[in-house]
Amino acid sequence: MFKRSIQQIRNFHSVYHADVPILDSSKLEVKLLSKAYTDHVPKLGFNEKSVYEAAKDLKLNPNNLNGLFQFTTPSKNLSMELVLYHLRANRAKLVGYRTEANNLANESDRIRFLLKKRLLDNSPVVSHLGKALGLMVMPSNLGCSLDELHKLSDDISFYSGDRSNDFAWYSKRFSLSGVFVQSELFMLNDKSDGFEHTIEFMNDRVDEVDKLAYAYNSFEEWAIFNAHSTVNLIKSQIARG
Amino acid sequence: MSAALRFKSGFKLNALRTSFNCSLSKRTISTTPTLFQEGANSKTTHFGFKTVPEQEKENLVRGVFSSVASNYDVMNDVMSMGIHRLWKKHLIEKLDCGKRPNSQEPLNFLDVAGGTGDIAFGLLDHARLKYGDVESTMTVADINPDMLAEGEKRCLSTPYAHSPRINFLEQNGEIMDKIPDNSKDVYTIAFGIRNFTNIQAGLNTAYRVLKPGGIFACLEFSQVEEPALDYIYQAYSFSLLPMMGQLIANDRDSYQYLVESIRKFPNQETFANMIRKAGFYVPGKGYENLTFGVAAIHIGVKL
Amino acid sequence: MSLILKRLQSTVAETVIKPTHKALSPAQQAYLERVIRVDQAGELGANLIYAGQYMALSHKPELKPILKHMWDQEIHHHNTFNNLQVEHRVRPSILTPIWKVGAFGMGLATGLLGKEGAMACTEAVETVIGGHYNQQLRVLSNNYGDVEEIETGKPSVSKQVTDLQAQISEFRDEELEHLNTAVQNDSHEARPYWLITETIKLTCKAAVWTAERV
Repeated sequence: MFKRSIQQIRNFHSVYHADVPILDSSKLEVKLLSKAYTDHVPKLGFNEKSVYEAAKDLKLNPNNLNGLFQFTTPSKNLSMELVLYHLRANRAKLVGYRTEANNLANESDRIRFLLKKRLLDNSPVVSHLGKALGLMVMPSNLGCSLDELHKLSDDISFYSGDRSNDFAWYSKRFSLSGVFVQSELFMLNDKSDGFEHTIEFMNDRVDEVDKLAYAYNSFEEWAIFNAHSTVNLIKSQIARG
Repeated sequence: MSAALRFKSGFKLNALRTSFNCSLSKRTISTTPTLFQEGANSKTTHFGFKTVPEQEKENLVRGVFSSVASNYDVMNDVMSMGIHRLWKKHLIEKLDCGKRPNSQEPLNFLDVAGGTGDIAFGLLDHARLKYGDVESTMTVADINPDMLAEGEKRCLSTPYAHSPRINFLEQNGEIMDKIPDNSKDVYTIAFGIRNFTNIQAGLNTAYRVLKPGGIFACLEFSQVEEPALDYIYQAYSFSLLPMMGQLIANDRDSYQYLVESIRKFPNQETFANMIRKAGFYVPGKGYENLTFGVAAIHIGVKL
Repeated sequence: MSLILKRLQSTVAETVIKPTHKALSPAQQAYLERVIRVDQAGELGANLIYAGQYMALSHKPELKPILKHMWDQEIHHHNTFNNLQVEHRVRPSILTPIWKVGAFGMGLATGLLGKEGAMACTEAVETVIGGHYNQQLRVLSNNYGDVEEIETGKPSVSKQVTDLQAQISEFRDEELEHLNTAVQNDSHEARPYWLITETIKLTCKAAVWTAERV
C-alpha cells in the first residue's frame, strides 16, 4: 500500500496526482460553516442561528446570507449544509488517525479503532445529533446523507487496509455503514462515561460482521471444493465408460 | 425600426416569415457570409438572432418592452406556461432575505429590470411576513419608463404604496449612475440581463453597487442540458410561442425576439464565468437549474 | 482455492511517493476508474475461463502445459488489476459473482467440447480483449496530456498514465500471443466454429459493456 503524509482522499486515488481535498478551506462557505460548527453548534445546534452567529464573527451580514447556500450547494439547504460539514470534517479527521491505526495487528482491529474515533468525534455535538439525523433522513436530503455515509465506510475500509476485489467490497462497506448508523443511534441515548457502552455496542456489531464474512468465505470454499469433486466424479465416470 | 436593421444573414426584420422558418437552425444563420456587416470599427451585438450595432439594441429592446408592458404578465405566463411564477417564488423563498429580529441593520434591496415589480414586492413581503421586517428598503430600476409606470401602478395596491421604503428609478442597468458604489445588500435581476446590450458591463455594475458581503442573484432563461428535452423545448419555443404571441397579444415580432434572445444567451457555465470575471465569488457550482435548465438561478457574492 | 487464500493476503510493500501532477479532471478520473474496473473483471473472467478449461482438459498431457502457461499469465494479469483496483480505490464490478460463475462455466463447457472447442473459445475471447485493450490505449494516449505538473506548471502525461499504458500494452501482447496459440492448436477445427466464436464474442462484448458501468 502507498503511504503519504498529509492527504485527504476520495474517489479515484493516484499517488502521482494531487488529491481533491474533502473540504476546501479557502472557500467562503467552508470558512463560515467551520466557524459555525466549532464555535456555535455545540451550544445552538445544527440550525441557521449557528451560521448567523458565525457570519457576525466573520463580519458578514446574516440577513442576506442564505442565498450563499440555498441554490448552488448539493443539499440546497443551509442547515443541511451544516450537517454535511459535520460529516465531512469528521471524515477528513480520520486521515490523522491512520498512522496510529497502522500499528494495530489486523484489519478488524483497525476498523474498530477508526469507528471508535469517528464515534467519539461526535461527542461535542452529541446533544444535537438527534436533530441532525432527523434532517439527514428527510427525503430531499437522503441522497446527500447516504453519499456521505458511503464515503465514510469507504474511507474506513481503505484506511484499515481493505483489499477486497469482488462482491466482498460491497458487503464490507454496507455492513460498515450499518454498524456506524446503529452505533450512532445507540449513542444518542448513551449516558455512560466516555460513551463506553456505545463502543461496546459497536464492537459487538463488528463481531457479527466478522462472523458473517467468515461464513461467506467458508461457503465459497465449500462450493469450489464441491465443484472440484463433482467434475472429478464425472471425469472418472466417463473414463470408466 | 426595421429599415435600419441588417442581419448577419442579410434578412430584413420585416421578413418575419423567412426568419421564422430558418430560426430553428441558428447555425446556418451565424455561419453565412456577412454581406451587409457594418464597418470593422463599429461594434455589434445580438438582437435575437440578428446582429445589430451596439447603440441600436437598447432602442430595439425598449421597443419590445414598451409594446408589451401592459400585458407583460400574460406574455410571461404564455411563454413559460405559468411556471415563471413558481421560479420567482422559489428565488424569493430560497434567498430568504430580511432583517432578522435580533439584527440591527435593515437591508437595501435593488431589483434591476424589475419594471412590473413582482420580485420587488415578493422580496419585501417575504421579509415582512417571515421576519417582521418593516425597515428594509427597495429600489426598482428599469430602463423602460413604460414598464416602470406599470410597476408604480401596481404598487398602489400593495402595502408599500406611498411608502418611502420603495422607489422606482429609470436607470440603464449597465451604468446606474444614480446608484452609489457599495450601497446595496441584495441585487436581484429576473429575466432582464438577457436584454442588456453588454451583459458583462451589467455584471460589473452589479459588483460596483453591492456592498462587500452583498449578494447577486440572477434568474434567467438558460439552456436545457439534456439533448432530447432540449429538442422538445426548442420545437415548442420556436414554433408555438411566436404563434401564441400573434394570437394573444397580436405582436409576433416581440415574441420572436424573446425566443431568439433566450437562445443567444450564454449557457450556465459561461454565464457563471462572466459573473466570476466581474469580480464575484461564485459559491458551489455557481447556478441552480430550474425545470431541466429552461431557467437557471446564478449566485455571486461580493467579498 | 487459491482465490480465497489470495483474499487473505495483506502484506504489501510500503512506498512513499510524492504527487508530481495536479488532480485529474473528473472525466479523466472516471475513465481511469472505468478502465480498471472493466479490466479487473475481464482478467477475473479470463482467469476463471482457463480454470474451467484446465479442469476439463488437464488429463490430456499434450494440452496441460499450454493451458497451464496461459492460465498462469492470466492469474498474473488478474492480480495486477486487483492491486490497481485497491490502490486506486476503484469500486469493483458489482456483478463479480456472476462473472465468476459465467466465466468458469464457459471455460468448463468449451473444455468439455474438447480441445478444439476450448481453443475456439480462447480465440474468440482474446480477439475481443485485444481490441478492447487497443481502444483503451488509444484513449489513454489521447486524453491525458493536459494535466499540469505541480512544480513547473507545464502540461504533461503523468507516470500514473504511462505506467498503466505500459501495463495494458504488455498484457495486450500476451493476450494476442494466446490468440496465436489457440489458432496453432486447431481452434478453426472446432464445429460449429462460427457459432461458437461469434456467440462468445458477443457475450464478451456485452460483459465488457456491463462491467464498465456496474
